[in-house]
Amino acid sequence: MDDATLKNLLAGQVPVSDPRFVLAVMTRIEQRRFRRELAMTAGLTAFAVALLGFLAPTVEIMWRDIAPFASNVVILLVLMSATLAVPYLLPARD
Amino acid sequence: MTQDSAEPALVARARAGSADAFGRLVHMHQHGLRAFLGRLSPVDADDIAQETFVFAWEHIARFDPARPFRPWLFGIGWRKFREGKRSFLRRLMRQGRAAENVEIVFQPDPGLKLDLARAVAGLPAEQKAALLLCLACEFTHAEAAEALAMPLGTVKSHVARGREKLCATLGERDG
Repeated sequence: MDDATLKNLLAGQVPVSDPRFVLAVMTRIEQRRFRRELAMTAGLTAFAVALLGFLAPTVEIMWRDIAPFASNVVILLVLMSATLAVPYLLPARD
Repeated sequence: MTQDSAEPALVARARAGSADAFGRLVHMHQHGLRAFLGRLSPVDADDIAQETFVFAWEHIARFDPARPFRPWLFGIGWRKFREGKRSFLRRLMRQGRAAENVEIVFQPDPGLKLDLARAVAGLPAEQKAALLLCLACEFTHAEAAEALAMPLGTVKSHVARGREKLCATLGERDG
């Protein structure tokens, strides 16, 4: 029995073109990416909550000191945010 | 642009993060990889093939573009198959998923195909893999050695012995 006959026999019944399979692979890739990002976001959120819980007493004491100036601080933060956002809101030029 | 000349460009784009380019690579290689894995592990070949492509996408940055893509990809498929054999739980999960998508295909000469399937199934895994890559997937011995992480001489001897065994089994049937 020659190699060509063996090759023909060994060739499976897999279609040469199978968009369903390609779609299944790409779906699985997207699912993995989604799960990974979800796990990362959940981890970061848990870390942030824990950090906030740990720092809460200190923040509360600090807040008492700056409470009289709170409105000024808020205005300052809004102005800073607006200044930083301007370059992103303007249309891009070549 | 031919398939061979397009592949390096697609690999380069996939390495840069293009999912579209990787999708085209999947389209180009799914036939060979699934045929190869189908002979190694008929029940869960498609699942292993999908896992192989997902792993390839996640690790494509490690791939050396100076080397051919196909042996690297089939090497991942071979390792996934070996891992699946070792992990009972993973095998059980794969077989469960594969059982949902079983398709019955009628073959032109079922007797001969069954004999061949039986003969191939009787070969040791390494021998079977080397034989399938070199005969069915048209790999060179060097490419098969790279994919299977085996010395070149070992691959050559696996192919020769495997071919002898298959010919002997199928020859008996004809005679």
